[in-house]
Amino acid sequence: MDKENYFAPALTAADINSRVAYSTQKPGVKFYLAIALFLAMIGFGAYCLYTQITTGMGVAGMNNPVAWGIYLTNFVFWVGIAHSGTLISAILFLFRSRWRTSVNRIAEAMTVFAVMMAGLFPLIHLGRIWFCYWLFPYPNARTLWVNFRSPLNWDVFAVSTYMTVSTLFFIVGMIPDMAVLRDRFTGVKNKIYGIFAMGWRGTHKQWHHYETAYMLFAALATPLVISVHSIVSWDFAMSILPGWHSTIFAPYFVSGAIFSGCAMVITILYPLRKIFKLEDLITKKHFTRLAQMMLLTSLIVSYSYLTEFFIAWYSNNNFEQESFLYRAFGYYGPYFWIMLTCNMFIPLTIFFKKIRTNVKILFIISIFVNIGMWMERFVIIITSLARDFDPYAWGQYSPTHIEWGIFIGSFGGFLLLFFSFVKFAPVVAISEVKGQIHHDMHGGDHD
Amino acid sequence: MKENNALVKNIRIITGALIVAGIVFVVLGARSNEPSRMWQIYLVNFLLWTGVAQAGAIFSAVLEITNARWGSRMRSVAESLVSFLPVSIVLLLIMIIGSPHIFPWISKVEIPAAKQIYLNLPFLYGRNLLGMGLLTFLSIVFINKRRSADTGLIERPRKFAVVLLILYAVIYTFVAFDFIMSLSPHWYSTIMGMHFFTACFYTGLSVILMSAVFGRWHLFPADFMRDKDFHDLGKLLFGFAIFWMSLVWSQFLVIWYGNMPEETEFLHLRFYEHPWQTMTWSFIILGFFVPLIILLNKKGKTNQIVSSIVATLILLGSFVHLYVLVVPSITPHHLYIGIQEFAVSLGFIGLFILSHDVGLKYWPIPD
Repeated sequence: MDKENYFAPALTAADINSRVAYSTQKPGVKFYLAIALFLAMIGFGAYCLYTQITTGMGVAGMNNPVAWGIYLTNFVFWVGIAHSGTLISAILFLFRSRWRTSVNRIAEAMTVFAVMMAGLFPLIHLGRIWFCYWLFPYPNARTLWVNFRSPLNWDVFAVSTYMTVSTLFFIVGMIPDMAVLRDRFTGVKNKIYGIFAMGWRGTHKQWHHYETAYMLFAALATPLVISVHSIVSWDFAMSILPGWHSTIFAPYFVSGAIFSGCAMVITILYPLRKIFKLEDLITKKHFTRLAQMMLLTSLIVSYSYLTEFFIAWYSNNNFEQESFLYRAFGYYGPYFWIMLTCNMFIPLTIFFKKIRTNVKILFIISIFVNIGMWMERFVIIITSLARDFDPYAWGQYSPTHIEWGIFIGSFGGFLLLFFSFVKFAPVVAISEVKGQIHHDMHGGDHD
Repeated sequence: MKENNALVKNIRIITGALIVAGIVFVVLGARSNEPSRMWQIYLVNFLLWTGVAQAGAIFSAVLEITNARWGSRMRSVAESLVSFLPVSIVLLLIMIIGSPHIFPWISKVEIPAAKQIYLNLPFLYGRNLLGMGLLTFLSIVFINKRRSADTGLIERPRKFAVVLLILYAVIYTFVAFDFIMSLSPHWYSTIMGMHFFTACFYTGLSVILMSAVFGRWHLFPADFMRDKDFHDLGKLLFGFAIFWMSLVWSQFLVIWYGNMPEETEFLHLRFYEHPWQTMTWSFIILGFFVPLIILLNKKGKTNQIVSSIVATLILLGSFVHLYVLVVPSITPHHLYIGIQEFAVSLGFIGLFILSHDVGLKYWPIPD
């Protein structure tokens, strides 16, 4: 366990309360403007979806042979974003990484909202969204069941389980902090926070139960992080399409997900700590640690890219080889090179200490990574479908404004949820940070 | 040091005897009319013990990078495993003699001309000797550096650890491709490299645990190891049991579901045909279910009698795992179990324990 001090010096417990509660004060004009923008984005997305529902799936650019377009790209993108939350909350908790305390709440919130957005896309993609309950196995008069052998159906279970557990983890983790906010307010606010505080009084027994529950959730959520994205990767790998059918897909997608998730945490954290003046609690060191996580996962992702290319050559299988050549030098080549630059080359700069300790540059890198990871899913899905075995069945795909509109709408939805969360709830885990600071001051040693 | 144990006192004699027996059977086997039989078990043992020895250095490097303090005592034990690495280079050189009996693509199976650029003996041994030599050198330098850093003489070798880890992943990927995947020359699987280096690390952890338990009982100063150390290592072992299995599963599921003849052949032989099916299930039970059930419990991790038994079973499971990966490719229809297999394996164990013992002298446990 490292003994570094992650917070600004001389921070007291009262400071933390007030600093965290700062974000829950009455918002200004800028806040409402931002909300209006997000609502407009959602409105546009909703309009596009409405058009698709009333006109038919033809308004989206998907057709034979590229029947999976950017809807599924977005699905994988959002599920990926959702992974860092649980990584930071659960896995780093189990590894006793102390730096997680300042950022875990934000990452968890991001997880929950990103899964919500992710869950929408398969439904939008399938069409006839009003029949979405057909995805669940339920007893019915015609004894029809979902196809349990279909990886798409595994997704339904994987994503909904992940969503349930991460939401519970998120809500349970907030109980003591909600009590802090409850005690700061009177009237309606006191009542609302009181509901989320669930009668928290901070007794010894309550803490004991809380810590047991937290540990249990962490232990349950850790394998879930790996299983969910493995299953998402198997949506592709189970088929026999060259470029999709690859055994490395599960670990490759899991690390890619954590990679994009950490990037998104940095992207969000940077403006957030400026706006809400959280520089004392979320320091440069936290960004450095997140960047190191990003570097590690970027290296695993790069390893997977290179392995795939090597094995495609080694296999001596024409279809494999052509599929990867097309990926790099075909019609979608530029996207491939954008992906490689953003995911493989730019993150390498984090090796330099000057760069990983510069918050502004990390913010810029994180935006590149977000773009790169979206591109990665685009490249994998579209290029493999556009050129499979038979030249007769080749074709190209480009997304229509409807598909882009829904993508923009999902960003609006995500940001709206996130901003509402920031206004309502404690953005930093107060009790954990306090425990940490107490620990630092008294120089405790757990090992 | 309390060297009162009969085993400890006579360690040189015992390991010496094992090594001599091993050498005798290696020579006899190589000169017999079934040389493949000897060389395949040689290869399995080579991969197993080289992987374990390398894992010692990797364990230490990981602790260095992550600033971990829980394993500060455990890593001294882990590092002494590395002393087998120079020996393994010699063992790799010896294996050149047996190559025609190991690699089917030399004479038995025809491979396309494009593949011959990669799969040919000079290049194969060239790259592996270079890679493993480099790793051996870097591991030893790293351990010396980090030991001096502990006394405050030099800066912590963190950059060094990063380089070591990256090279480990890359070089061990090629080791897996060359010594496991190429044995079925037409078969390919992208996860093989990651699967292999994870398995090596996992096996390494189990050997570190066994060695630490034995050391605590017979070798180290009385208060050197603590129960907490074993609890933490047990957790790591538990985690890796699941992670390792998830990689085994990732490879199995994708190939099984795809069901393409050129891929399925490899799995079908191992999962559905006798006698390999039994061995496959036994490594799954030994390497996954046993640690999953026993190490889940806190007592399973803190009680060193229990955890060292589990670690031994994991080591056995890893051996069977490598055996199932390697051997069916070379002799698909015969399961050879005889005195030759035992003698060669025991020879490797003797060699490993002897170099481990030398390692403990060279990098002593701090008092």
